[in-house]
Amino acid sequence: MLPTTFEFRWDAGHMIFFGVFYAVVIAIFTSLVYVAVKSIIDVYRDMTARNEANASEHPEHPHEATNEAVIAKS
Amino acid sequence: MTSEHTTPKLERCSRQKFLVWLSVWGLLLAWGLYGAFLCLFKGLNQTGMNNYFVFGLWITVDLAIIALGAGAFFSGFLFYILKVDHLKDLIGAAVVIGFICYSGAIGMLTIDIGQPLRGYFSFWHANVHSMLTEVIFCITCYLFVLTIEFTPLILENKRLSEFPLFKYIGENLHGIMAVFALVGTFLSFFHQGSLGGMFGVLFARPFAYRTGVAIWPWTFFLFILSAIASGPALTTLVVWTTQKVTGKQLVRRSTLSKLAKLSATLFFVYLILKAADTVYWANVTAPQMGFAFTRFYQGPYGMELLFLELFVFGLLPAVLLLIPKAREHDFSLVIGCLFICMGIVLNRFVMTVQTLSIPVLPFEKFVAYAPTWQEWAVAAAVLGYGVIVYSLSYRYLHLFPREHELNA
Amino acid sequence: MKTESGDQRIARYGMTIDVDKCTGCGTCAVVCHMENNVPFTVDESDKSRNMAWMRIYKVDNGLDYPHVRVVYFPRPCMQCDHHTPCVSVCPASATNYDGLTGIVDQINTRCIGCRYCMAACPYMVRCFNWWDPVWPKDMEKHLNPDVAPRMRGVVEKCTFCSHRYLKAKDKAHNEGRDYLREDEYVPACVEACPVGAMRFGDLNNPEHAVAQLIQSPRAFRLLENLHTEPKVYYLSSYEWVRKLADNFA
Ligand code: SF4
Ligand code: SF4
Repeated sequence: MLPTTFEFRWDAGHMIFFGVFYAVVIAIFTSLVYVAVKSIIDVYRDMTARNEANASEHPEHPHEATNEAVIAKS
Repeated sequence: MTSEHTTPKLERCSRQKFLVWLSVWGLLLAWGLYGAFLCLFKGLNQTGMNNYFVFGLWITVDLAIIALGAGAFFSGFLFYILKVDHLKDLIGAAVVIGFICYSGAIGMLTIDIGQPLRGYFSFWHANVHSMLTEVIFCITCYLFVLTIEFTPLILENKRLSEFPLFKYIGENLHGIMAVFALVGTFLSFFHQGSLGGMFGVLFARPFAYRTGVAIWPWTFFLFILSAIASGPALTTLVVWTTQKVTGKQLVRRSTLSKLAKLSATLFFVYLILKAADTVYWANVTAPQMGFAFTRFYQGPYGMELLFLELFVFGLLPAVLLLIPKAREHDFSLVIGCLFICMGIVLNRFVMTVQTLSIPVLPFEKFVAYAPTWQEWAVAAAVLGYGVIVYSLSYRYLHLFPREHELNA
Repeated sequence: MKTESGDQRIARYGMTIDVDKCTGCGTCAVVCHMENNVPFTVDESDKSRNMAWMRIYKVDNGLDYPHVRVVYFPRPCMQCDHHTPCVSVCPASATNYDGLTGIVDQINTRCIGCRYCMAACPYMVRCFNWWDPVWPKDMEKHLNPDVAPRMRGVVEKCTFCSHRYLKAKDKAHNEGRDYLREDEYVPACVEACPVGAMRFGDLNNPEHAVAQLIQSPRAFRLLENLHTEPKVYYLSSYEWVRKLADNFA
């Protein structure tokens, strides 16, 4: 699996197989990381927005619009 | 929160009724778990397999449910990539069915291998030239992808989506679902094919061996095609059954018809190719290895299997579902889809069990195989597990986006 | 390894079995069990699940007395040389083809027990350990320390006694030689055969008896139509015996 395991050879078979495998793994993980980071940012943005709203005593939910969009999508 | 607005309250049966339903399937699951425990604890001598039949019921079921679970990737591909919109009605259900099929298959495979704890060796010490390696890599990765596809469905649950983080993860996953659909399609394409390739490359087993292109025998392509043909058939069947059991309209009737049509069309193409493959194999490939076609069909695995596979569970449902009128009738729709699924199960059975029953050494004998109760129990457990997961998903998640509208 | 005459070449160890000589006494199968610590099952009458690296097939010509004739085919691993069926399919690289000797060996501690190799092998050579191996207490003292017993859930098969090859190589090395003599590395079955029906050596080395024997018109292999290129050759003067070795459509 890794170039350090002793069956590993730098031949075409290994390079194609593991090249594709690691490409898939990287695609999956970067997407997941993207989702995680974006979600945290979203939550954080909400929190700041809510704090600001509280501060200016306007208790509205600034992310309501986002929610509607999700509904349309699901 | 606007969740009342987004996920309308869905009507479900009483908790008591639901628990009774679950416990019936739970019993089946428990029986299977006991069988699995015996196999893990005492060894595979608990099964009916032997040195002739090294694969048996489990591999047959594995191959079959992986093929039938192809509905998930194929619907995902059609919906997210090709933007076939009407599949939105049931894409959630298709993902759950796929998830059940793949997790069930991997669970079963774990019991099937003699040294389950070494399962990871096929990653660590991978032999990249083996079709099985490709299968193992792809189904594991794909189960992971399916889990990711399942996650937003779960996070949409009213209670869970009250947590902002969960809600956003669900939303954002939804947003880039096309990436996962694409990766899933790629992985599925390869492991469905490699499952067929696994048998097609057995050049010392004349019943299974097929010629092909490059490193891929014809069975590679036949398995892909049969999987994408039968996957939608199972999805149709399950959705229809859910509607009957719950007494509710969950998707538009036309969606089911369209899905059945798609399945039948693909299945028809598959049958043509399968027939061509069979003719070539029977007349060229097998004789070159010293085998007359008729020698393959003996004892309990007679010629009727081929007839059933190609005609009764082949041409018949394909033609039936290609008739628009027949698709509109529930009875013929269900029979058609059921027969397609059975045709695939039979195909996988033949490739697995019949391949091994035919002696290659001239002085070996033809052998037959019968599974033990432990094997049946484990196979039944997958069904029990599937029904439980599916029921829970139906009850607590929003599997069918049109349910509210159709039952208003 | 080099040959005795000193030129470096890749060996292809192989075997010949003269079925006209074989009496079916079973000595090869017994010594194989002993040499390789092959376990036995409680019910040895169940041949579909027992362990046998060397199996002896009794085959007749299908005629009635007095015309009936019987031959015995001792069947070790054929050590397939071309696209070795079992090696090419094993997902965990647990069975391997040694490029220097041509020996198809098994790495027991790596086998995951998927049994795909058994499906791939047409000679019914491979056995799966359906049970934990157990020996009667006294017999444990006779286990061969050179061969690791296998565990439940893995596949095993004839290795041409590859441990003997390693031993012979070590001995040669100690003696300052970089070649093996013909009689130095011989599997247990070949050594034990009381009628001398089996011969063993390097098929690539023209000085070895096997290399000459396989040239004989009496030589044939099992299932040549499949092109697995076995390194085990059989010898017989009878046409009907040679015909038994393959399928004909
Ligand atoms: S005879 Fe069977 S086990 Fe031996 S090398 Fe050939 S395929 Fe492998
Ligand atoms: S049973 Fe063992 S040796 Fe055979 S293919 Fe599987 S992992 Fe390889």
